[in-house]
Amino acid sequence: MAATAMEHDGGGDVVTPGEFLGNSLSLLAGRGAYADGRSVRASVTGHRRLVPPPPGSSDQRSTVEVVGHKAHGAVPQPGSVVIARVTKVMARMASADIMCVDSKAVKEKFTGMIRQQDVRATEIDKVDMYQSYRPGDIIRALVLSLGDARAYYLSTAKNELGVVSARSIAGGTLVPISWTEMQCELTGQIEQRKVAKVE
Amino acid sequence: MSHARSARGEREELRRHLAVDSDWPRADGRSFHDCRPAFMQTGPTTAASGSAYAEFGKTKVIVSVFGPRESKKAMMYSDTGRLNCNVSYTTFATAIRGQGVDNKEYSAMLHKALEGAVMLHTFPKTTVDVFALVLESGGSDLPIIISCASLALADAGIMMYDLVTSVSVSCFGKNIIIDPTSDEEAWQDGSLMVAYMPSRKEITQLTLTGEWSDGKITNAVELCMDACSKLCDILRERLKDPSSLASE
Amino acid sequence: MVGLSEGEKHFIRGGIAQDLRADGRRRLQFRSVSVETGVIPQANGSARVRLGATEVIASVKAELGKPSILHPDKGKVSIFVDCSPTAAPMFEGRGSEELSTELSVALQRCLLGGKSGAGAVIDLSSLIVVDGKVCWDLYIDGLVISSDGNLLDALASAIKVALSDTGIPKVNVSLSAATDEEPEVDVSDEEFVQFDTSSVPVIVTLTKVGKDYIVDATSEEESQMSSAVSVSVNRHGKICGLTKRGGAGLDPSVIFDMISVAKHVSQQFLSLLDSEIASAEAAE
Repeated sequence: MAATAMEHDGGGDVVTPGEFLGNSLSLLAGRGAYADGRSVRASVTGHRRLVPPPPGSSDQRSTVEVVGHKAHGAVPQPGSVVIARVTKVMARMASADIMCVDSKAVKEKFTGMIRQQDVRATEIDKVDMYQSYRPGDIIRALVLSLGDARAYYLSTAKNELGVVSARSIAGGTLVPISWTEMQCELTGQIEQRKVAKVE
Repeated sequence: MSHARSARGEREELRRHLAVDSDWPRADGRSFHDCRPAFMQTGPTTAASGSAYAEFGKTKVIVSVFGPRESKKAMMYSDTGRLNCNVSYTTFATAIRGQGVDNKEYSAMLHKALEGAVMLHTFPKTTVDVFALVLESGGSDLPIIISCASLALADAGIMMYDLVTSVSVSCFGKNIIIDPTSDEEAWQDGSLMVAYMPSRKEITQLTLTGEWSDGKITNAVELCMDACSKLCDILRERLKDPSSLASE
Repeated sequence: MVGLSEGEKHFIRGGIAQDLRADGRRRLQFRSVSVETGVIPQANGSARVRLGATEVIASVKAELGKPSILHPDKGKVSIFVDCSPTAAPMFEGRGSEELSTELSVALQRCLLGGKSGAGAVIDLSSLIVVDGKVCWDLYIDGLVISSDGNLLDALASAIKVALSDTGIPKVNVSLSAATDEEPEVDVSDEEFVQFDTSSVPVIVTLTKVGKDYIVDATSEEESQMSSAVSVSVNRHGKICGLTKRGGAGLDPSVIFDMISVAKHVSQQFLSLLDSEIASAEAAE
């Protein structure tokens, strides 16, 4: 068991926080490492990996990364794509519980908020929240910013963002038929949503 | 009655020896500058993001780390992350059944000791909760809590500048003994606790009680820093242990 | 709490680096101290200390009580600090709990010495009335009225002055009581026992801003600190307690340096306080 843990990562040796990785003159600090004056040290426990410098860059130093075997649970950062479940829909905003960040599940949910102007890219003042989302829908959204103390600000104003999966009033699964409409499998009823174009 | 008196007489005798002699075996056979053998382990609590258990002689501590997660009592928005520490004693931790309440003083000191080591800017707006539970209090509680908490934080994958280890010394007359047990602590003339980051060579927490002279403080701090470095090596060994890595 | 613009922060830091602080003081200079004793007539001893704009009141009350089972030959002392909402609006209700606990613990550490009682400022065995049965309980309470930085130093000096003002009433124990019953004690109203406070230490907080240390920081300067060390030094130059506050790590050599600077500064502050105490006593 120990052997497989060591093999899959290219055989980098294990480092712990604070351990000296190299001189900052010859190495850049990547993920999981930080530069402290002249030295580069690790900031998490994990395997050390050297990434060669991208060709054509002015800085010829290779980057040292520490790949944590147990990196701390995902935290939404501005620019990351998240999967969330809508909890509340109101006139000018919808609340959602963020469940996955960049395809990694979170241990405990974070609260996100989609404002009326962030639902879609066109005609943002004519958005009807009830025709875009319903409570219980699973949406894919982009984190705009850290928001305020209570919620992250999310946006679905792109083609590939929006409702990914939903249940209809009758209880059946909704199938997307256009940018703004989904059809129930059981009854054939059409419901309005802001649909994501899933590739 | 007579048994208690003879035990008390023995303690008085031991105290006199500790204060006067330059080296005398302590109640558990250690010399003045020996620490208790340390047993530390990561991952006892599977529900937490990271956890650690430490046993130093009769002191047993378990620390769980949750986070980074949304803080339930988030009042103020903050650019950097927050560290929330909580130390509590079980009701059966001390010889006399205690109340089991949170120890606010230790919680504040644990927070100060860890604050300098955790990279708070890597988890903005979220909170990392550190919960320490003392299962049995056998002396030198707070330093062991600090070392165990930093092991738990490393186990949780929280980015840190360095591991924080901590050791305390007691002073008896002109002698300094390291890692006191609760019996020795009850009769000490003074105490000094140091929380140290060995690789960065920085002290994050230093507290002192009793009357000390300059030279004595320097000696004691150097003794502590030395012991902290050795303890840190033990922690690193625990983290690198392949069985704890492969458990993921 | 203290909102400072970037320009103001730069001004404070630059001033400290050049040994000229915002109010014209040098780095190791205290603000003007004013001391009053006997401000609370109902307490056994009290004092009010003003350190610049920081104002604190300390009171000492003595009550008869039972000694603890572990130390039947010693009295008990408890120190408690409360921050009043008049000092800052955030101190209302539970807001000041953390700060109060921190200050109380730091003061206890400095004034009560080691667990065996060695190095304690107040000789606990002098507080005993009847061994194992009756002793004096000293309650030392600090109240922060106005907060402009450096609360710990002001509280420690207020406690020192209050203790010098304290008189414990003489107690006559009636010897006719049987050994099992509670002895009768007669608290006299006329005769008092004064404490000897010449060995009470004073606390000096050194705040590190950038690479230099300053003494007696105002709350603006405290908001710029990276860390602070509070050192308690008594007249004989011995360190009675040390607490490091603030988050950043410090190099050990910096801490040793701070301790020696604190020792030097504290001697001046001690003599200043002693002269104030003497003049207050002479005025009574």
